[in-house]
Amino acid sequence: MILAALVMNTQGKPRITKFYVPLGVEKQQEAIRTIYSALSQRPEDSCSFVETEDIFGPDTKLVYKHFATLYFIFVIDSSESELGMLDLIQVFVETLDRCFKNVCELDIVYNFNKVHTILDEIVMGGQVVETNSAEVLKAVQDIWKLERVGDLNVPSVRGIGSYRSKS
Amino acid sequence: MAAQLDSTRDFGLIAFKRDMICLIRACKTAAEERAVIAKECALLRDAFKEDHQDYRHRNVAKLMFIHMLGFPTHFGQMECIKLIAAVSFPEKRIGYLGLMLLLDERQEVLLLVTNSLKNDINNSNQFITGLALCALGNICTAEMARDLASDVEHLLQSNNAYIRKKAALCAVRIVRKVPDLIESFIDPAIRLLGDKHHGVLISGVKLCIELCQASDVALEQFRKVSTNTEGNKNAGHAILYECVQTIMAIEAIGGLRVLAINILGRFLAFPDNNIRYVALNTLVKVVSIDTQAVQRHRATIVECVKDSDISIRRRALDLVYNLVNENNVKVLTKELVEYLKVSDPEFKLDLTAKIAALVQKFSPSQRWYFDQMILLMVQAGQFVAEGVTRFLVIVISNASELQGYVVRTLYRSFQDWRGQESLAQVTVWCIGEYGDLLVNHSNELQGEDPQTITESDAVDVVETILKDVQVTPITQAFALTALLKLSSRFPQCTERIKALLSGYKRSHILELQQRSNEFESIITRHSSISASLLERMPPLDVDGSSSAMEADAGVYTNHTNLQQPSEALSPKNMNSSAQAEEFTVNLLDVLSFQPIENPLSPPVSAGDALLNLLGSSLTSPSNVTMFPGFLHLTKPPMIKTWATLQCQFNQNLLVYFLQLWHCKQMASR
Repeated sequence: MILAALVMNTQGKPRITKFYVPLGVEKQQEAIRTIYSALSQRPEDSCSFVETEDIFGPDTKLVYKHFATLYFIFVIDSSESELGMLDLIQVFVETLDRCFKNVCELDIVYNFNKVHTILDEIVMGGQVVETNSAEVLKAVQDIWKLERVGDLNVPSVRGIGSYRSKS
Repeated sequence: MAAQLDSTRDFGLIAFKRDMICLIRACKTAAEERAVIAKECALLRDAFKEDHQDYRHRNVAKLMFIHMLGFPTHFGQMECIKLIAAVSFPEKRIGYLGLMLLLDERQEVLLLVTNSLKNDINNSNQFITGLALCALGNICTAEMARDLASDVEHLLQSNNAYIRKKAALCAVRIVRKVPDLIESFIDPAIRLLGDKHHGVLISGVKLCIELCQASDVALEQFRKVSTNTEGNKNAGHAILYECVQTIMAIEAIGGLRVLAINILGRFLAFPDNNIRYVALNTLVKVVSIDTQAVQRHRATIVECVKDSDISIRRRALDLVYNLVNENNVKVLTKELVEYLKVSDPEFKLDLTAKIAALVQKFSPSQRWYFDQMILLMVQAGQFVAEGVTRFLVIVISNASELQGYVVRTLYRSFQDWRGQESLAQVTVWCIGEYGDLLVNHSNELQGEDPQTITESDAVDVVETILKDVQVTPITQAFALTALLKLSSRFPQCTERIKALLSGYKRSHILELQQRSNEFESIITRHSSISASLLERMPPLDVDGSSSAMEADAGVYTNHTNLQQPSEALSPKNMNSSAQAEEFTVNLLDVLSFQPIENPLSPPVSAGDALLNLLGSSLTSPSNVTMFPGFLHLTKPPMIKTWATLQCQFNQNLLVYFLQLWHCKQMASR
């Protein structure tokens, strides 16, 4: 199974963090820091697989891919195929690209809940649920349509006045 | 806009999540960031206490961002639960997202969610159901699983593929948490395997694997199913690869394994790099089990060593190293040395180390070993490790019949010297020791080019090395010692040698200064003893410590009649220590060599083709263990290099089928 899906930038700041095993907040941050220190030292052409026994336990490894200023990282155990995971990262990034039109790091920062939606369509409970980018895109766009429609029901913010007057 | 922004901050929360993110990003220091976030959290806490509904989901969204940065956010958990119970979709969405991010399965608060989950699972909107299933699949606890299992099972038979696939994975988690519920999932799971939608198939197969792993009853059912579905394998590469993995994993014998290796061999010939990587990688694992079968593909593998992709080259080199045995060592080494000429520098280091290790391990004869080592040093002298040259020198000192041949070959090779350190060191040491053999053609072997080399030629070589700007002080020190030895072997050149030595009497490098001063004083003031002092060194031993002592002992026993000179540092000690120093410092390091049975090997006749390096038998497997230290000199096991297989989605699915079959095999053993 997939133990965690992370997106962090080349300075170590986490952009998306999703853990599929129960870890406390401190443990999560520690894991992020350890992963960052492992990845930042790797040269460009080294392979995309790193053993990570000390963070997540025995028999686990990181599968990562470096795109521009971001690292996309899946932490997996031995039941998953490493090559399949690399492909999955590819699917994830392609879907992001189609959703955000030439996605860049800022898109991910400001729309992290949307990115979570996409991730949830691809990986659920640590298992892969969908590998077809088009299917994921369709589902995600439908969800966003629903969200936008739903949002119209909430009174929009006009200024301090309206906020204060309601309380 | 900016003014409005400021004024909202004065009165309360920032309305938009985006603005908060902007604010946090604008912080220059970590302390500033902490301050901003602390303030935000305080404001959020107040807002939650006031229980204002309209902005709850935006606030929770902000809270999730803060959580990702690592700050405590447990005060927001109840808000998530309230959001989940809301009616509108965006609120539900944020609620569920918050649930998955901010809570985990250990929180008791989760029980409160069960009711909402039950409602949402049975909602008519597929996305709301999807949300609920997703949340359940990520963090359900055993109690929740028990409550909701029947609903999930019902959904496994839904008409909607989107729901089916999520329900399947949800079921995986339920089954893991509550193994008792397996029976109820078996039938729906089997039906999933016949589904046409690939997403459902992926998750369905995963469910089946999970069920098989947990229960034998399930296994029985699936045995029937999987024998039927194997027929529709297609020949995608991922499939074949998984087949091979499975075959290796179940340790099939005979026909199946040969089939697997043949598949890998076919992969090797593919133009696609990724497939070749994968094949080479698997072959490395296979070769330890079944070397014979892999030998058949040796030619292809050697071709891979010359590939343009460096990761393929490295893998292929590893594989070749594992494939070498006494029969094919000559051919393979020849290929590798040929390739060394054209390879690029970063690869040369690995390649040289591997070739040296191979040659040491498998040489059929000493002469071949010397030839290969000299060739190696000429080609890639700067990459040859120190331990390798050390070993070479030891072997030369033991092979008394071939010493003349070696020194003459070295002299010839030296003519194209381009600054290779190791070549310089070995040449200079040999000329120093065996300079007389160089000049008087002793022990000439058949087929050797008779070349007349004068004494001054020999001294020329040493001088060239000594004066070259590229050589290190260590090599220069070697050269000085060689000159000293030559002064005794070639008496006519003594004056010239003395002049060369005096050039270093004021050298900045202490070692050189000391050596040149002392050597010169040996030549001028102690010429009576210099002859015996500088006799040929006895054959060196592989064992580090005893070799140093033996070098000392050899010198001492030969010169028991020496008078103690009155200088502070006696030349006897210095000479032996100088000689020994060249080897002691190196030999007494942490790599300890095991002593061999007969330390001083009897002289070997050059014509015997089956000679081993140090006189022990060729066929004994202890050969390998004799030089454990040298195997450490090669690079540590290469990190596996993999590449992406561009799997189409239906191949991913069939990969899971094979895992299922594998599972079945494991269970049936």
